[in-house]
Amino acid sequence: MGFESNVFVNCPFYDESIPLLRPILFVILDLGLTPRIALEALDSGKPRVEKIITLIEKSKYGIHDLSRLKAKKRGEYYRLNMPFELGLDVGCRLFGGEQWATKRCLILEAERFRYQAAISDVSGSDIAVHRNDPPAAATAVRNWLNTEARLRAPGPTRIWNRFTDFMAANYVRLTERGYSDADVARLPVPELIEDMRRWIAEPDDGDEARP
Amino acid sequence: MRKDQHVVPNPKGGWSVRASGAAKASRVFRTQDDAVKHARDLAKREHSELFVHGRDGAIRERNSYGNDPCPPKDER
Repeated sequence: MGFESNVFVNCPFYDESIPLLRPILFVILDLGLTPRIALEALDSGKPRVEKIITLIEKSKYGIHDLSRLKAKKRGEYYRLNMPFELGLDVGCRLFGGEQWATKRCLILEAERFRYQAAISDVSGSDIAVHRNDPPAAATAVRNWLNTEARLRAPGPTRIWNRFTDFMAANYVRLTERGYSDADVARLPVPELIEDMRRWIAEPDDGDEARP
Repeated sequence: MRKDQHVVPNPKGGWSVRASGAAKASRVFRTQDDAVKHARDLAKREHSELFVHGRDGAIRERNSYGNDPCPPKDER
């Protein structure tokens, strides 16, 4: 897993965020890149922030979803992990030295300009709005990586279609192995990534949707 | 070759009906209900499976219209 192909994914991992996270991870893998997430190293004894810094140092690209910045109800804490990790990523680019000067970040938000009220210092960064819509999030990530990594990626609709084919194939495979619908919905993210990786690597059998 | 049918959200809006592995949708509908009706007809005609996906791409419904791996026993 090389620096040039690693994509640090700084997105929430709780249940209500999984619908956005799944297609983002799929797009990264389908474009031949490698998602790096905090959950991949949970079993090590290192403090979380050290693991995050290691992932950031190893990743040229960073995708930071700030759409959960705002507390939804009175008394709920707003979440600071995502902007904190964005700050670490930007800091690594600015202060890390020559290799890290090429790092690139994409900030995802739910609503246009909302981030400016909470974290105006990031104005001028690459920002895309997904409106909490999974196809829009997939398109935003595909378009940004296609430009920044200079890929000749298939179109957004084709990648989305491949993602839905994967979701159906994985649903069949898992339910045949005894997973309930709830088990499938709550598939641990590292397991989901492995399933995506396996499906993408399978022979295409004349599949038109494959690139 | 049997092609399963999928009802999936179209990134440009509406709901697409698309066969597994197809690069393009066969039709796009404004509502999910209309897309499901069309896809169900296709799946019945082709004795294939119908997958209805949610807005997040996850499977909301799966129906088989052929090749039942556990057909009911003939009790005659």
